[in-house]
Amino acid sequence: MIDKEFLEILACPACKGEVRLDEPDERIVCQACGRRYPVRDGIPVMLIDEAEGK
Amino acid sequence: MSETSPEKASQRQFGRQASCYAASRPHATGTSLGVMVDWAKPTPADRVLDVASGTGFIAFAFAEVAAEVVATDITMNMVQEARRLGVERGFRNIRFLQVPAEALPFRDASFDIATCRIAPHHFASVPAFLREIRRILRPTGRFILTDTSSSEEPDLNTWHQELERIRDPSHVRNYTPAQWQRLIEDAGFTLEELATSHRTELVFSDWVRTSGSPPEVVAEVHRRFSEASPAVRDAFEIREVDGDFHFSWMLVILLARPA
Repeated sequence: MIDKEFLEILACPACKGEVRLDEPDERIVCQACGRRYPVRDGIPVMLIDEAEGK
Repeated sequence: MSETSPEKASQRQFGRQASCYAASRPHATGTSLGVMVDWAKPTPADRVLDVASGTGFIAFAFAEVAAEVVATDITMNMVQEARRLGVERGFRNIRFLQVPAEALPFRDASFDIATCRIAPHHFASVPAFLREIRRILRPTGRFILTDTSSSEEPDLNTWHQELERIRDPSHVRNYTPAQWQRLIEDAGFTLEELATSHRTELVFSDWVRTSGSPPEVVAEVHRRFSEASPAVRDAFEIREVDGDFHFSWMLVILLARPA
């Protein structure tokens, strides 16, 4: 679902920074601002309100 | 976002009513879908973003041709329903994400086509949505949108907007064709096509069932239909059929490219 190719077009919805997948936690993490977005039921939740951090 | 924001209102409305929208005939068929595909001319090389996918009808239409479709919605139940239907139909080239229309989680210039069908009337900020679409589209990209529209005539417009907001609290505004033209151009697009000849045909009893409106709201909306002036009846094609009201809203369908 969240493969390398997809991470290349995905960005942080808040700051548009690059993101990486934190596999053990199933989190999508912004490399620029540090916000962490959950993946629920295999679906990335890219809502700024639902992010941890920052 | 606050509990009373349009985003929260949409999440409540569509979280509750996801399966009703999946079964709703105007959302599943409707000729606007065919026009959108014709105008966008998807190719097997294209990556497509569908915003406010709902239960995924437009995403599925584009996934038939395009390399990859990213289907997004602000409501988790809608995303799950779209994924369920997508798997059922055997699509393997669609990704599903929970995303708000006004803050897209994609890098600049990463899509060839962006689509949005019958949803912007729920958005908190259409200008913010359009700026985001402009940002994520490649310079050669195209944007195809369909939404319920309304009359340029102020009295007719007011009757329509009030009715929609009473029936569904997540409704923000049906923009007129002239308003769409302005919004599109202000966001840095060139408007290439704008069609206003398509309408969405609705039946009162189905319409209030889809929205899950409580009885007092249904009664108020019914009263407004009963008391509609001849001009309103004419503009929205309101007629009584077997004790029910049949009516139609104008749709705006547009094709725009980065200017």
